[in-house]
Amino acid sequence: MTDFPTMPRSAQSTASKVIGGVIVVGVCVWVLPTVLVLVVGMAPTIVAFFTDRRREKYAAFCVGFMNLLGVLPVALGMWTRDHSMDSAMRNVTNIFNWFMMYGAAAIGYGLYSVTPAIVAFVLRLQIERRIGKMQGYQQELIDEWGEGVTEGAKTDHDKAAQDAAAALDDNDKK
Amino acid sequence: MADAGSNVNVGGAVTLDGRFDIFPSSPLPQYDSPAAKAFMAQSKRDPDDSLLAMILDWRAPPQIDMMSALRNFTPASMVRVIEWGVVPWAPENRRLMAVVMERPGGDRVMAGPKATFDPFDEGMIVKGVLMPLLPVIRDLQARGQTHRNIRPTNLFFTDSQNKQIILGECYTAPPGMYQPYWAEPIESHMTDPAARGRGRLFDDIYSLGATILALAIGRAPVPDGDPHQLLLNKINYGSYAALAAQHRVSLPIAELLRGLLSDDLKERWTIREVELWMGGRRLSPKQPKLPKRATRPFELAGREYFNARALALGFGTEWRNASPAIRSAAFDTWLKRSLSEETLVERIAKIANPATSKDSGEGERLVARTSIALIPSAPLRFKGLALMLDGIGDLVASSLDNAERRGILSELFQARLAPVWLAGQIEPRSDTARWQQAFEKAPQYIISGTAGYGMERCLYELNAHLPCLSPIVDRFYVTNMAEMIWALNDYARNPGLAPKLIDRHVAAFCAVRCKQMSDQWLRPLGDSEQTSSYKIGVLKIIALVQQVSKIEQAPDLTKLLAEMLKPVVDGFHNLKQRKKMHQDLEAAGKTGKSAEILALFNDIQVIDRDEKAYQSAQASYQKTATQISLLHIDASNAHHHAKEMGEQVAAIASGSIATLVASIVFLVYFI
Repeated sequence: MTDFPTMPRSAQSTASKVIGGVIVVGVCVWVLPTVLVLVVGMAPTIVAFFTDRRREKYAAFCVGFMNLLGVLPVALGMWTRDHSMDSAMRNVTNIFNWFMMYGAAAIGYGLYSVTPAIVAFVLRLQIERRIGKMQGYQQELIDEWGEGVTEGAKTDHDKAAQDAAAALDDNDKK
Repeated sequence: MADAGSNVNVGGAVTLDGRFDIFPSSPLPQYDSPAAKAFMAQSKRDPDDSLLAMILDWRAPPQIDMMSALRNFTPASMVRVIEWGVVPWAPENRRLMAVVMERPGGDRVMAGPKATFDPFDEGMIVKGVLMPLLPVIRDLQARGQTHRNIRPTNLFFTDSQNKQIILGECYTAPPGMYQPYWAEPIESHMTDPAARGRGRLFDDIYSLGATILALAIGRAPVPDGDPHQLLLNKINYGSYAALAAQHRVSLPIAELLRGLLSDDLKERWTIREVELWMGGRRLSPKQPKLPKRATRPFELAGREYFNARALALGFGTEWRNASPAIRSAAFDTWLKRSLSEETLVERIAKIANPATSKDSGEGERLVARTSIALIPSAPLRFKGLALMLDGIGDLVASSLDNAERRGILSELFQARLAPVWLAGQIEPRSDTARWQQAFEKAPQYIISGTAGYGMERCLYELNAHLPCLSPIVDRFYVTNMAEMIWALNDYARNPGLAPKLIDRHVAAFCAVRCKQMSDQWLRPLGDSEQTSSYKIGVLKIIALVQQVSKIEQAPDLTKLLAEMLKPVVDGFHNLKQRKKMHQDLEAAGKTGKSAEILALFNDIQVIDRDEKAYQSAQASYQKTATQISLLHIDASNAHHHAKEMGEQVAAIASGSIATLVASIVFLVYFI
């Protein structure tokens, strides 16, 4: 019985890539107007992606979601009416569309910039409330047991502060 | 409560028991005894009775048992005791024991220890001395008592005719304490004067003989002699030879003296034999029975001893060098060959057992045990002290201010020699069980050493009628719990800068005289005086004493107690409870009842609970403080946490808003 000849693995991989590339190029050509709108409209997101140094890319996400929301009406208009390069060119050169797409991105960026401050404010408010409650409890103890009950607390306080500071330093280093 | 000196003025009469007036401004020095001063006294019922009152030294144990035995039945020819009790004594600004007694009609037979007087002839001795005194000794014997103060200086003429005598008192000082050495038999002569004890009839008989000798010659037989040399002479030559040989007395009197001064108890005359002699029966003169003399002397510290009794005396005085001598083979050889006393060797082996006593700490005990074995009837001798067991109480009382003697007594109690002495007695004794019991607990008291125990505890255990000698209450002559509360209340009026209600004497006195007080009451006194447990311990003791005394009100005492306990209340951590306790304490301090104060502190668990709750509160405070510190750190680093969290929140919010709006847009476009 004769063995059928088999292709080498590297040849198979190259073939897959070629087929995949042909398909992608085909699709791109088919949705080229949309791609053009996306590339132009999502420019802030692309910029945010590359400028955000954090691994989690929160800025890119934040800008990107809102940016996409701004691009979506333009893309929808093309898909429902005229999905052509002319239409795409008209849309990307329309100042109103620019304003909508980049304005949405700006809102996203604004959200990204403001939220930490709001969160910090809320956190501090929570901490202060807890501290106030604990200090009230301490005062109750002093009222019941006298100043003697505070003996030893200062030492512990200092130690805790040192431990916390050390932990904080470790976190910063990481 | 009346103050000790509130009802008496200097020079004014004090009243005893509402029946007798005693006049401090009218001393009767001719009737003074060595331990008591005499003052004029008068019966309110019978002002014509000739009385006097003896005011006793407050440190000396009063002879209450003796007075009780004599109160209703004093022999006819003895000074009659009528009443006794504690009276306020303004001249010394303290309460003292007064003994009202019959006042002798005439003078003292012998004015002082070195005085001379007209010698008594044989007839006077028989009619004026023996006829009145023998019934006294017999009556005392019938009551199980001895006089122990028969000496020429304690004899009085009944009237100015100086023909009849009367025997003086025997209850103002410990028995035999002021007897001259020459008037005491060998065993009592060897004993410390304060520790001679009640003794036995034989001792009174001997003293009577020595007194008759003094009366017959008109002075003391050996007024200036060295007591130690006199004792050696008594041992080596016999008492009669040592005392009477150098004096000229009639043959009948010499015969009487040989009988009364015999050193052998079996040969010493009894009252019956004296009466026979008085009746005219004359016996051929007896030669004194001398101790067996060794063929060679035993040398100890440069001195030579020829008999066992003298050697026992030598061991007592040379106790530092005696231990090696007792362990030496020479001692054994001397006993067997020179003294030829096989029974003595056996007794020493049984009691002292020198072969097994090797360590240095047992040296003194070995000497004491050997001395007991040599002469069982001699006093117990230990490190220079010599005592009869029934004189131990008086010895402890007289040694309190002498640190060296106190130390030796402590060692003596711990050496447990009393049972050895009692076991070694050849003559049967009726008081063996009593003294074994008395000495049984003494070592524990000495070892314990804290307030309520120690030598003070032994002092009051061994002296049933001694007042409390504490400097806090001594001027009140405290004899019971009611007087103790009264005295402490007076002390509390002006307690000074560092008040101390219970010292070692008060604690020991209460422990002995207050039967309800067990060891648990005394235990807190071992703590530091600054601790709450000590102060509450003091409160508990005083509350118990007040309860026993049935004295309802002691306001100054309770006020001082309340003041003393303020630091304890300050020790309460709970401020509300502390404030309430201060209010309650102040109120209780004004009630005059220490039990009211004790009720505030009786639940010792209250303090424990307060302490535990305080510790818990402290821990809570510290835990909270730690949490607050951490929160402060969190607050100062809020921006750091908030940035990361805010970015997350912004991303989520952005995605959520976008999704929501996109959904709406899709709906608008496609529906």
